[in-house]
Amino acid sequence: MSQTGYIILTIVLTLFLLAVFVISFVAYVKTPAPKGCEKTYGPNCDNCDQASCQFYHYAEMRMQKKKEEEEASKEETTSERKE
Amino acid sequence: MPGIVSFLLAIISFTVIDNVILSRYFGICSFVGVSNKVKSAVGMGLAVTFVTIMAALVCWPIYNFILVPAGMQYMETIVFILVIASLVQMVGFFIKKKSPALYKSLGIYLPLITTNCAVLGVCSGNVGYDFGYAMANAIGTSLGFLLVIFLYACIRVRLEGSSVPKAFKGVPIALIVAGLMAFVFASLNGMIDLGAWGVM
Amino acid sequence: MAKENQSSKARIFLDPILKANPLFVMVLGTCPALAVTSSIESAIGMGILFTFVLFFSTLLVSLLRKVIPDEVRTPAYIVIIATFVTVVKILTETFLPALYNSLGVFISLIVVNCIVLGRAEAFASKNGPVDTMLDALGNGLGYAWAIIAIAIVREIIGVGTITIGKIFPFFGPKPITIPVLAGYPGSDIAFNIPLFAGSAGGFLVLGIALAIIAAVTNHKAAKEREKARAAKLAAAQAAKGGK
Repeated sequence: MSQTGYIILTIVLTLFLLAVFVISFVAYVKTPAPKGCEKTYGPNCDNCDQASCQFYHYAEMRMQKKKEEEEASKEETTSERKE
Repeated sequence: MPGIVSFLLAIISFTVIDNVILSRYFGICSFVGVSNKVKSAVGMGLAVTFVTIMAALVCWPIYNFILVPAGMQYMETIVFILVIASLVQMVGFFIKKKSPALYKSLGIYLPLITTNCAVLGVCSGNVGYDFGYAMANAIGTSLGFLLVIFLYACIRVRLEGSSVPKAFKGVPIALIVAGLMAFVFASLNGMIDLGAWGVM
Repeated sequence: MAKENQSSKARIFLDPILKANPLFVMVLGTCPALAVTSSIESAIGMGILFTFVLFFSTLLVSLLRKVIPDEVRTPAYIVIIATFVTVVKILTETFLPALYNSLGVFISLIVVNCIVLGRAEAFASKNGPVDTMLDALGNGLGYAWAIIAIAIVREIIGVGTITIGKIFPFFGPKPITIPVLAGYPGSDIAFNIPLFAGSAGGFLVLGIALAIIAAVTNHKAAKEREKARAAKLAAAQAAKGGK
């Protein structure tokens, strides 16, 4: 095969890999988690506190939620104290 | 049998002497992030082992039989990350669908592996090696990851109950422990002279 | 209104440099922070390349944020980031081969740097291009100064001298070596600890840096709590007195 052939092969391969990635990504996300591990993906994930997860934006959402909850509980305790 | 001996020696060298985390600094994010419990550390280590070996098996032929003849070696990064990412997603999809038990122990760590430097680091590092040495690198590196993250999780579990200065609580003391482990592993340097066995 | 807008823009830029520093506060991107910090110059080079990739990839993500469907967000971002990393790699190999050789595989590893994907997911996918540019510059500079600071500590303690000009030949063809703890001409005094230039030193320096930051934050928080308590006490006393 000539070099041009290999270049075309490279481009086709890259596009093929991209297609495989996108399809498997969507399939992975759309598949419901098995019983007992619903909390392992998405905003309710309590698996680890690792920010390098590719679902990082969920981690950020979770952190915000936690903060808000903490603040809410703080306010509650202070109002209780006042009473 | 010199082939097999040197292959095993290369694996040992990549596992303990040139350790992936402690001397090559790959995959520290997951090393610090997922080592709170021994069980999750082992799960993460096994998932990394599986994906690294698979990715190295796919990436090496792609690079040497397609990218090099095409003269497009610079496509390496894009192609490798696509291979790793689709591999991770496909494996994750099958495990999620077929085996809930395996999903619970390994599958939940799969999304973290796409962004784990160790996998891409091994695939990119294999670029100049021959096939046997590349496989030794993949196997040795992933075994090294498993070994070190297991040891580290065992230490961290004990750290949790001990009284650490307040400022060092959490990640700082974990990094210092990793530094001490790196110091110990560095003393193994020079244990195996790969050149003498005709590997390098 | 205009002033408020300006201050929020300034905060987007300044927050990641100090208050929400990606390395020192969020503890992201630790792999290159330890691997390339044994010499100051490679840390500077890594900082520049990282900022470049972060800036252009998040800018493109922000411009395309309404075009990319939500389901394929992550794959699209990974491809965009990998493309810019490839561009950076080719440019570095052509124009700064010394930097290319000293960083090695870590240029490719910018793709999997948690900060780039994290900023693309958490910020650029929701904000306009101007804010995104500020955020990317802030994060890039914040990360760059953090790794350069680690590299300065490691090079001074570990090697004992500061060498400039090996990778960036701005000061002439010969590298300049500044003696600090060792390397004084005509004497063999050396107080450097080689451990810090080796693999263990990175972990130790980063761990101690994080501990110092935690100590400062704890101290500040304690002070603030004290202040709040004093204010509350004063208010309660005033209320009592009023009765």
